[in-house]
Amino acid sequence: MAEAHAPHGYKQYMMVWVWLLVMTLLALGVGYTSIPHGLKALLLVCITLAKIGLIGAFFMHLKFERMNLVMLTFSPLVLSIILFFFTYGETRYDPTHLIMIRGANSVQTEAPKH
Amino acid sequence: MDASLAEQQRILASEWGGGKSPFGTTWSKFMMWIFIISDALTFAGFLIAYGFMRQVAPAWPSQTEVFNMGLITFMTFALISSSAVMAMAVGAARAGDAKAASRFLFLTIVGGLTFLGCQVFEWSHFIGEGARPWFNPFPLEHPMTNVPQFAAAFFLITGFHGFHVLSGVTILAIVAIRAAMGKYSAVQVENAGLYWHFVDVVWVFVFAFFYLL
Repeated sequence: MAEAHAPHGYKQYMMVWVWLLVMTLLALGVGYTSIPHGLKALLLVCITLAKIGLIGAFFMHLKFERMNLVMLTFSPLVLSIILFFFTYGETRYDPTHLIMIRGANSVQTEAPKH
Repeated sequence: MDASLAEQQRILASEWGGGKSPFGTTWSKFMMWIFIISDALTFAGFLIAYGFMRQVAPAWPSQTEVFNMGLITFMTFALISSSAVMAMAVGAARAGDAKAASRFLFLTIVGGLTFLGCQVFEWSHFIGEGARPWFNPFPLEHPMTNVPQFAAAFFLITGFHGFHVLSGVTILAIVAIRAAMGKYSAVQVENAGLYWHFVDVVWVFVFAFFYLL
């Protein structure tokens, strides 16, 4: 029984392996193309999610686990998306880069009206 | 008396009453999952902090110029392959084939060591070029800043991940030795496998967002 099952499992793992390699090359291709940064990020997020989905479902056997465990394992992903969007807003208005660029020019912006 | 016994039985039979396993796993596998989830949160924190630092940085070095992408891709290949072989080791252990399990575990360790060797090479190369956690030697569009965030993020993220790979290789070596001695359990191999796949998952994120984006 076990003997009959093992080759089937191996074949599936080989298929997942091949797909992971294909998607790695795809990600590499996306990394080298000169498309807009936002689109590149979106494509890389999609490829990464597909890859972790495959690893999780087949290598980590989440496909055969109960749904509550599956949901639990994906909680860090949800939390990190929330954290990302909380902090992303800050980066739009963070003056750090302005200070760094201005600092080299001169001190002219310092105390404009006195 | 009878009523309380019936009550006890009713509670034990309920989903969260203690008589059942709500997640349908062994306790050790569930603990491994809890560990993986907490570890994933650590890496999520690192990667989001990296994203934040990168957004507020005035410029960022071109990774394809700074890093040897051929080496990075080979490292990815080594880790993904070792993960696939690890899945086979778990399959063999579950089927009760100790010989195949220890053979696959050995191959997994070889993959992990290959990855670590490449990383040692990469780190020594990077440090040799003058990179420090507080200094980035690579040229930028804005020459007045050296964006130390770049080197800091590199050392922190790949360092933490590399340490996880090292821990994983150690755990796998222990499990492989036990498997070769016939003193392993399928659950043990599976738990070690879960950790190893998690290390692979983290690398998938690092590869995409640190090296390619």
